[in-house]
Amino acid sequence: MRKESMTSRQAISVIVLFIFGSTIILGLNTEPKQDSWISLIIGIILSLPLVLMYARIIKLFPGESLYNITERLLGKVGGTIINIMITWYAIHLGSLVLRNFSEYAEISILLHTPQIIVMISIIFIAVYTAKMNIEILGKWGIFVLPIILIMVIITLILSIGDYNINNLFPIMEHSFKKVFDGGFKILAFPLAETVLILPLADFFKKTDSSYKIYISSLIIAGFTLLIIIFRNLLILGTPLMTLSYFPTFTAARIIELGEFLSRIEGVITINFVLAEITKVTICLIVGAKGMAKLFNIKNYKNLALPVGLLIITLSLTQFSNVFQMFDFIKIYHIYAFPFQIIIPMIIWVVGEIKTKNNKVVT
Amino acid sequence: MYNKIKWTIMTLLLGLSLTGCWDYIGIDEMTIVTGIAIDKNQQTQNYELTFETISLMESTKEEGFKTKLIEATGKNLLDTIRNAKKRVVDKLYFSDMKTIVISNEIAKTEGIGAIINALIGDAEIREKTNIIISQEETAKQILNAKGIDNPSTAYEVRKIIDNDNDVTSSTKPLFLYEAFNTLREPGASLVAPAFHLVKNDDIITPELNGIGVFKDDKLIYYIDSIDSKYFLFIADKVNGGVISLSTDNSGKDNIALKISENRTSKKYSYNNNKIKIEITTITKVDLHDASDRLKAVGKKEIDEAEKKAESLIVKNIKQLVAKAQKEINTDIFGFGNLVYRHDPLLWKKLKNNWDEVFMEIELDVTSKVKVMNTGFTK
Repeated sequence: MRKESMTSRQAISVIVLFIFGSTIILGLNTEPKQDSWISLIIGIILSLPLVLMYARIIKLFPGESLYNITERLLGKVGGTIINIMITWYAIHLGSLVLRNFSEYAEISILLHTPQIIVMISIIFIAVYTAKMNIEILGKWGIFVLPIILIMVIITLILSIGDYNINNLFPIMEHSFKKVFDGGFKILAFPLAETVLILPLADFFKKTDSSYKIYISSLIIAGFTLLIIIFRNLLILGTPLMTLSYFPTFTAARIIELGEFLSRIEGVITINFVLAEITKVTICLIVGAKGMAKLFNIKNYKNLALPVGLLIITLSLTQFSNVFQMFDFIKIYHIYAFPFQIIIPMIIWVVGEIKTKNNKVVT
Repeated sequence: MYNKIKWTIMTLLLGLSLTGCWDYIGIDEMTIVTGIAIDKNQQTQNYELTFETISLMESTKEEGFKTKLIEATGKNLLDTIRNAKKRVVDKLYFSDMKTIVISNEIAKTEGIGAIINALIGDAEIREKTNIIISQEETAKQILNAKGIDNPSTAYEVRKIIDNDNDVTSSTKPLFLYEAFNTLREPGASLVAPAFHLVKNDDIITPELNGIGVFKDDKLIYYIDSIDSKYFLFIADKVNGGVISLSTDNSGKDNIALKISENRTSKKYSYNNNKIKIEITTITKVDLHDASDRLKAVGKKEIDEAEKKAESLIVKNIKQLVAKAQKEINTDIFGFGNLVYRHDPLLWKKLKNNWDEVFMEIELDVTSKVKVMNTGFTK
């Protein structure tokens, strides 16, 4: 059987979509208010060493999934514990993203539709994609990313008339600590969530540079998010951007060209659905792969549907209302810290030492 | 092959079960609301809402659409909106609503903050709905009056406001989301268009009548449509309108200048606990000679008109600011916001007694008027 693989262009677009995920609609952390864009830049800079570390791990063990590396580096027990944690993180993240979307759907567009229906529709596509060859996901990325970028540019141009440049001032009103804190939260959600790409590293071609993949996707995604944050700030102004649950959606509602062109928010919803499906699919594949590893099942694809159901169940039960969801997003960076930073750090350090001593035969 | 059939059947089944009618509303099942008038009964403290709706039954292709008014009362806004449902068959649909009329009484006594908060959270009501203040006894009277062109008064009001800025420059539009922001922005001041009723060709019709200015969320003063132009000069919102002035000593305004473009810049400086505001306006105008003079307009007349117009703008802006300082006692121009935007630390120091600081503000106004052309004739 031919080994499944993605080209580096496909990988880049998939990772960019993954970063967009729910961010494109939930907006980034807006606690530093009009200084949010500074936080985003800080977040991008902070994530650079982290992303380089992820890329280095792939480079150390080319063509290997994170799940295989851990057992070899940390032994049976240690490896299994880390695998369980990563698998949990993937499934939980998938359920979070799914819940974000269904809450959004209930508040904004599908007011009377039960959330589970929305969830099933999304997870069904995710399961289908996961069951297919990984190339399908890659091609999906290549196809979908331009659509999203074009839509972002369209909303950017159409809203020029609603920009209020005063909204950007005063720059750096908030203390550096607060802005930095905002940057750290943006690092955790969504930039460092790319740690979940590590278990998919066996789908990358060995010849492709993992640095190139990670850095270019970080730059594309970061730049787009910067544009989005500027657009939202310029249209909405600080108070509404901070208080709105879905700033991008609210910003799109304000765009009106005369009498004939309005309701652009539909476009934004399409964006969200597309990015959302990608993110859930990746979480699903990573979760299924982890499960397959833990239970010694040869083909992870058989687990796509059960893991999908698990994601739905988790998604439905973890919050009882929207406030709990947003409260959790507030402390998410603390929760995600071990998964995003500590675990990769351990793997990287042990990996460097062991490859240096040639104890690991690659 | 078997797999394919299985997938196809499953997809079809899902297609049937997942595409639902939960959120389907046919156009024949909804009552489209074009505007709301919000009043309050002073005795019972209940809201009294009047909805202007498009009547689909009576609308015909030849005569265009017709509107109906629906009234409801209730304890709070949502309750009142739901109460209206008791009188109509179809669900009220708010996404096409263009205007919210708030009564003078509510704006003056309890403020509009609560209403704005209640309305902006709604998924159907658009952020770009216009807010206006009714100068009549109730807000309902505005919607009850018939517009001259549009069958829907709410749409008519919206269009009047939309076009005002380019033609007369007498009001500053207020959208729902802007009101929400302005109330929360440090030092900013809320301003809303005011409407009253006039008699036109024996029919009572709404007319734009300047602006209402707010302190926090409470209406405190109306600026009429003549002074409001100079308010807009300060706010840098003038895109059109006419300045009329007299160049001879008869006292009659014999010259009309049509504004084609204006740019206002504001600066502040802080010295000895005093704020000094510098306002510079650069205005491009077309000269439309309305005098009974017979000779052509030359360079001399143009120079004279420019000078007169400049001093007129300076005088009126100063008068308006002085009025705000002495009569209204409030920073209605949002000078506080100007300070905040450029120097948040200074604003922090001043904000607690900003009203007193505002009273002492020194003003320096310079104006430049350029006549670009004189229309078709010399």
